[in-house]
This record gives sequence, C-alpha cells and structure tokens, in this order.
Amino acid sequence: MLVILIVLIVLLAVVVVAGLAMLGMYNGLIRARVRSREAWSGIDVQLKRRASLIPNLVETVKGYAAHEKEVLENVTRARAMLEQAGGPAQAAQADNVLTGALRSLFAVSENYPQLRANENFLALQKELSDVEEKVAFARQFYNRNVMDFNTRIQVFPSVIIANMFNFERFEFFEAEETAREDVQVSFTSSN
Amino acid sequence: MTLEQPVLIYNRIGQNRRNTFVLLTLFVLVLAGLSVAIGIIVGLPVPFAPLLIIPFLAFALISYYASSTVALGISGAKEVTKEQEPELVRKVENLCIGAGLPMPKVYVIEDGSPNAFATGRDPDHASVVVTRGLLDKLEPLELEGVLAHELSHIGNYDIRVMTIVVVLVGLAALMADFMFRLTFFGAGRRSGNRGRGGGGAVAIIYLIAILGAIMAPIAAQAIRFAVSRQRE
Repeated sequence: MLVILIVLIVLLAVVVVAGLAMLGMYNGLIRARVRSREAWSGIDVQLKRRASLIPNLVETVKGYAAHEKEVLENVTRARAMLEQAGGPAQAAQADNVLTGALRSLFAVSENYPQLRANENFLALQKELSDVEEKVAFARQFYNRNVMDFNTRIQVFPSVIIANMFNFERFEFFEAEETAREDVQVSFTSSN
Repeated sequence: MTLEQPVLIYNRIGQNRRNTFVLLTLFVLVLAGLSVAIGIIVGLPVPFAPLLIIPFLAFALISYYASSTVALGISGAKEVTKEQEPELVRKVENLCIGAGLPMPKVYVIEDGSPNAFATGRDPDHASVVVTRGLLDKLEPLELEGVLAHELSHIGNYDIRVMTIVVVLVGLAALMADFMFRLTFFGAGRRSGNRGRGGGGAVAIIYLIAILGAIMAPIAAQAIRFAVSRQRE
C-alpha cells in the first residue's frame, strides 16, 4: 500500500514539474513573440516617418532641378515600393532601394548650389539622416529579438511547445545580396 | 553582423531581478532580527519588539524611493530638453530605440570635468546625467559609447540593485549604531530583574552590537564597491 502511495506521489510531482516547465516555456515564447512584434512596429514607425518626408523633399528639389526627372522618379517609385511592402524582408529590400535612390538624389543636388543652400532642403536632409539612423537602431533591436524568438521555437525542448501552439518564425529585416547589387547599378546609371 | 548567441539583456535582467529578490529577503530577515534585538534591549516585552521594524522600514522605503531625487539634487543637475541640447537628446533617443528602452530624462551638470552617471530604480523612472565637460571633450562617437554604457545600467536594473544594497546596508549600520549606544544607558539591566537567565543573552547582544557598530560601516563600503564593480 505504501509503495503505491509513494509511486503516486512521485508521478504527481513529475506531472506538476513538467506542467510548470511547459507553462514557463509557453510564457517565454509568448513574451519573445510580443517583443518581436513590438520591435517590428518600432521599425515601421521610422519607415513611415521617412516616407512622409519624401514628398516634401521631391517638391523642394523640383523647384531647383526640375529636369533631373529620372532621379526624382526613382525616389518616388522607391517610396511607393516601401509603402506596398508586406513584411520585414520586402520592407528591408524596399528600404535599401530607397536609400540608394536618395543617395543619387543628394549626389545630383551637389550640382545645384542654390538648392543646397535652401533651408528647407537642409532641414529635410538633416531629418532624413536622423530617421535613417533610427531605422538602423530599430533594425538592430528587431533582428536581435527575432533571433531570440526564432531560436526558442527551434531548440529542444521549447520546440515541442512551439509546434503544439503553432508559433511561426519571424522574417529578419535584412536585404538579400542581390537587392544590394541592384542599388549599385541604379546609382551609376543616373550619374 | 551575425552573432552566435543573441546578446539579450532580458535574460540577464531576469537574473538581476532574482538576485535582487534574494538579497532583499536575506537583508530583511537580518534587519528584522536586529529590530527585535533592539526591542529586547530597550526593555520592551517580547511581543512588542517587532513593532520597531516599522520606523526602520519607513526609513528604508523613503530612502529607496527618494534615492534618484537625492542623487540628482546633490549633483546640481539640470534637466535639458531637445531644444536645449538637440544632439545629446537625439543620441539618447536613438540609443533607446536600439535597446528597446523607454526614453529617460536627460540632465546636464555645468562642470568642466568629464563625467556621466545614470540613476533610477527602473527604466520607466530613469535619468541620464552628463557634465558639460564630457560634452565638450568627447567626440560624437565617444559620447554615444558613454551614453550607451549608462543606458545599459538602467536596462540591467543595476541601479536598483545598488540602491537596495546601499539603503539596507546603511540601515544595518544605523541599527547597529543604535544598539551600541543603547548599551551606554544600561538598557539591558531591566530585563535582568525578571530572572537569572536574561543576563547571558543580553551580554551576547551587547557583543554583537559593538562588533556590528564597528564592522557595519566597513562592510557597507566593501559590499557597495564589490557590487558596483560586478555591475560594471
């Protein structure tokens, strides 16, 4: 009789401990996922800010360099691409293309001293560079959290919990190598 | 860009919180014991002795919650806005985005020697302080490094750990001192009247009180420095 009792107690203890461990893992996964989502919204906020600065910039440049049509169109098109991007990987690519297009724009504006002296232009340039820095930091934070989450859903034993509740991987906010090459090409062609 | 192990502060924060909790519990037990001992020496009947914990607890809580204000007040720091110090505030803002921390208050001390510190019991009630000397003497990237370091203290809850250690050890020193001074007034003798057994216990308490009063300030400093270096 006593033996049965002891065995039952031990089984109960095992079940309780396993249950607590599972709970802990599940909560850890949830927290990591919430952090990753929050981190993504951080990037999104900065990207939107950047996109909102572009129209003003294009108008200002048009005022002085209206016939630099190709460069301006590249920027506008890149901005549209960014707005339509669905998901971190696409957004990262679009972000890269926009960065390249803006770089061409600022390179071209070197030829127009009046434009460069324009206060609005200078203020926009400064704000854009600040937003780009913020995007870089937000990206760092996001990728770090995604790496943590993606690791958790793959390592044993939390992989069991992850599959039980269908936790899905996040995409990294990173451009692929080919996208970067495209940017180089457009830079040289507009010069 | 790729790291083998994600360097996430969340795991270390969890550990810090647990460490703090253990530290706190241990200290509270010791201090409760000391309060009771003081009560006995003063001649309070044993059931009432624990009441002495209340004023000491009040002192501890006030010290803990006021610690930031005191640190900022003593240093002569003045809060700055984005208009007053745009580059500095911008740097702190961007670093906070990278670390996922809420934006702390930014202060500047008008002093020529370069220095910086952070204060605040948790990231939501935090402040970062730099001196004018630091702003003048450092390159932008160097300044960013210093700010990132201070923000990491905030994020790691280091300041909370340090504050708790300082408050509690200071409290222990205070209590030991209190007990020591009580022996001058011969407070123990009253309990001797009630029975022969009382005398031995009181003598031991005296001894502990005297040793405590001597060792406590030294121990306090030692613990503070040890914890501080570990946090760095």
